[in-house]
Amino acid sequence: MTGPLAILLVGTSSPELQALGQSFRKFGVSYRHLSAQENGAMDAYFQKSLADAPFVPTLIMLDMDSCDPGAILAILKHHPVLRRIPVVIFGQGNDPERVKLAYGLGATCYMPKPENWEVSMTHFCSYWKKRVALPIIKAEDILATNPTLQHNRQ
Amino acid sequence: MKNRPIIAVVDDDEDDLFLIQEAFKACLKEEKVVLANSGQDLLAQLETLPILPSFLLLDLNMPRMSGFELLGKLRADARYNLMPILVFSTSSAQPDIDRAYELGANSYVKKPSSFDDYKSVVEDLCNFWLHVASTPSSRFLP
Repeated sequence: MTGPLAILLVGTSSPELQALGQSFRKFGVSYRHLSAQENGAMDAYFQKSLADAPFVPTLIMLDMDSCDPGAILAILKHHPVLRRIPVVIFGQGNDPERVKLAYGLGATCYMPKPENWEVSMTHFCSYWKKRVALPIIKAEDILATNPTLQHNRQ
Repeated sequence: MKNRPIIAVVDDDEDDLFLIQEAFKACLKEEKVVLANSGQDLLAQLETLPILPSFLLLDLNMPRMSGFELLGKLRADARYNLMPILVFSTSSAQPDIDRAYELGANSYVKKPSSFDDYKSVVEDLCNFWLHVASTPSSRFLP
């Protein structure tokens, strides 16, 4: 019924990365990990790497403890194509201001890091993989927004 | 006094509203379900609620005010622009899906056809939005 769930996981590290990777493999969800060493990592991914490695996500998961969600959401939500991709922000704790911030930035939802990743990710994958219809994002459409890259790819 | 969490549903089809309500009964504990049969009805009911719904299930094909029009209105209103809105539609047309995300829907769920499927979809939906995600109202009630 729904298109494939392909997740770009941004900015998380051990042990969450292992737990998330294990869950994605268990539920047959394709994913890539992008370490956020700088706030421009997301920009670089879509502006440069995509031309060589066309993994186009249909969902982005963003660890707000290790990168600046404001900077990344600003890039995504102002992009004519990428703005359709749902972004799940996750992080430590459940502070109301943090939750409001995530939604205010345009995130699809805020997910507090759970004590038991296995249980939470079972619900996560069951919902996003089985129930949700996702936007179709084509690498060509993204590259078309940057004529220089499109030319280099040809 | 603590307010009960609220889930809102807007759908012009009475049969669908009944099925959704029955499906929610199987998986909800303390949450209250608010049902609206049109966009206007929903907007009027939202005015009276003590807290923001944990999420809204939004049908697309409604007369007078379509789901897309209602989605646009809610996203333009500072009182409701953080409320998670899940489009719940029989349409699996990709342009509808893409447009819903463009307009700020939090997700797009295909409406099932049988009651058993309704129960299973609603269970997955509640497990994620009520137990995994946090929403601006769901866990911080006054």
